[in-house]
Amino acid sequence: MKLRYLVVLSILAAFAVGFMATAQEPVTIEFWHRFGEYNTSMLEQLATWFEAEYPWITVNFVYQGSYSALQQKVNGAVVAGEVPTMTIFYEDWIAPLADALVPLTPYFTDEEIADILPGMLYKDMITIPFNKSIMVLYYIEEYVETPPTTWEEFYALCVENTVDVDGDGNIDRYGTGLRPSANPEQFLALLEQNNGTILNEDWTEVTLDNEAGMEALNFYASLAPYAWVTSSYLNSEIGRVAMAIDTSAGYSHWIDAAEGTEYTVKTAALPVGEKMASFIQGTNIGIFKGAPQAEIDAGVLFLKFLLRGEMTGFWAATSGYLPVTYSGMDSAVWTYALLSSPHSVVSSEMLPSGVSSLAHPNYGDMRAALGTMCEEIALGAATVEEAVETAVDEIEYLLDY
Amino acid sequence: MPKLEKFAFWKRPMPDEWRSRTFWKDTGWAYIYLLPALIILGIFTFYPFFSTFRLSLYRVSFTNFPGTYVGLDHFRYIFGDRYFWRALWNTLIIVGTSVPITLLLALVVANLLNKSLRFRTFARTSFFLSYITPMVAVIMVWQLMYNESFGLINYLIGLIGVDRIAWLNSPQYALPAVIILSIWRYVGYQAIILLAGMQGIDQMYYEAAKIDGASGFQVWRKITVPLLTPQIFFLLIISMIGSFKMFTEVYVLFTGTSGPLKSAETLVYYIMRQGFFFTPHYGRAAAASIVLFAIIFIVTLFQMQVAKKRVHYQ
Repeated sequence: MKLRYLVVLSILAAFAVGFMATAQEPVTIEFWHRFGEYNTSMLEQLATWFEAEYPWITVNFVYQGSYSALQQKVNGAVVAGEVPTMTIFYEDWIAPLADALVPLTPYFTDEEIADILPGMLYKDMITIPFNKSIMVLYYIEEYVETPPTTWEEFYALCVENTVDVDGDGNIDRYGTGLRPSANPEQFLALLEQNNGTILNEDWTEVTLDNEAGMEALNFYASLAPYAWVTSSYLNSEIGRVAMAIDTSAGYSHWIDAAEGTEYTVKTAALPVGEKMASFIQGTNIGIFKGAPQAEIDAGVLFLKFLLRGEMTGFWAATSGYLPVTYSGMDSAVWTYALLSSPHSVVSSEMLPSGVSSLAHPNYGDMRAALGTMCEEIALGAATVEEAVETAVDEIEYLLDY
Repeated sequence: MPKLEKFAFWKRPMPDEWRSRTFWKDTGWAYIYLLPALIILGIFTFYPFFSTFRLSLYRVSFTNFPGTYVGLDHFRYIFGDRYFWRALWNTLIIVGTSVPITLLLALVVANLLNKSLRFRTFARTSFFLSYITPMVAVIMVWQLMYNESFGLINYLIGLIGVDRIAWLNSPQYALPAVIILSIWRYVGYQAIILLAGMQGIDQMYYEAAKIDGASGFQVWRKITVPLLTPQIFFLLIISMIGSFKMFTEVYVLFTGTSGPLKSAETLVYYIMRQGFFFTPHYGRAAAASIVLFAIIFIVTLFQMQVAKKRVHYQ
């Protein structure tokens, strides 16, 4: 008799637990992004798996146009107090919005935090990394047989490949390409490789013009005569440059540009200075404090889900970005992806030496000052000393602004 | 004091129509009819204007809007910013070159189109096409035409022995590239407006001039141009304001930047850069907008004064 009661009670308890699990109030998370059709479908696939596990949560992806449009909409939404649950954003947009974002550290275990690749962890963890890429070396195999491994080799190949093919007095092919104002990260990767920094550790002093910084700047300046200096994408004229330091996320564009031409595009690790280092780019995800608590909780669950090894591995393998956690790098889906993509192998191998943007509140403006400095040097509008002096003045002003 | 007497409206006798009930009824209806337009203007023009002015006095915080009151600090910042002066100078160069050149070319084209040319309708349509084609599409085609290695423009100037020019990658040529594009885009539109004006000129003036033995150029200078002054005045105002507000041409032509070393940066691009690119500084952008407004306002007032003396409506 007792046993019968026990069985009935156990069944009732199981039902009760099941009921409680499924009787959560339905919640919809609004997720703002700017991904194209294909990547959005991959995101939706991730959401489908997530919703199967958490049936009371629905993820609603809202496309917000270009990155610039997304930034304006996010800023406007925060001012108006009409925020989505979560959004993607570049690291240099985050600082002015920091007070509006949920600090995520309390929601994550130490183990989960330790799993995130160190170069991708944003200060105070008010965001988590999501679609990330790293600067790699693109080269045209027909011009560069063996990719350079050191700065010296890179420079020598740049000189060798800067040529006036048709003899009309104009250079037709350059050794490399520089996008100084659009992509100062090309210089920042060199700075990092030379153990240089923009600011000292406690952000009280500009260190850009110290010995390491000046060496990196002089090397950047030495490339200028052998570089196509432009604001256009470096793959917009395939064959114009023999090598280019560019983001791994642009791989498919390089391949598309080379299709049907005589050129073969390949990637390699960046040539090494004092140490191997590269610059990580791409967006993070943050959750807004202004969202209702139920949405914040659901949003955190979605973030944790996205950080799982298989999920970040799946996203990286299908979207062309990179895994953001160690477990993602070890995941079966990413390991499988590496088998068929030498480019992913290159990016993957560079990841542990990746560094992110400075999390200073005025980093956006500092980056603009660095862009101007690089541009002045690349176009010969100022000497290295003049350009760096102006940049240092501007960054010093921004330190206290 | 006696001069102020004329402003003392309360001392003036009440106008007779104010005693009429119909006057007040008609006035009331007039305001009711005006109300929708006033509401729209109020929401979309006057409120943003005053709000911009207010914003220019604050260091805007997203989380605590509007932020900290900083007085005229933003004006001080922009007046001390070398890029503001460069943007202003570039804008003045654009206004000072593209407006008169476009108008002169449009006058010539309109004059040609007014003559009995073969394929006149085709020519008119062709000239107008540049204006009705979406701007971004036009600029992207020009981007290809300006290409240093395979662009049409370098090919054409190469035929006369001129060296290749890095139109979009060289600080010297970036602004001329924007000006040439702007002139090309608006010549057709202005020519059509002027052509309509030309066709509205009474033939009797030309007949009288012919009888008096006036030469073709004299007719054009003494009859056509003076009687076209309403259209010319309209185009001057529109194109000057348009040139002061130039942004899209620069943004698209230089792939989101304002050209090498910001050499083609205009005032509106500067405003956009301050307000919406990198770290947003709405206060600075608002301050620069107020300066732009003041410049356009003064120039327009000046134009209106000139127009009173120079524009002949009949």
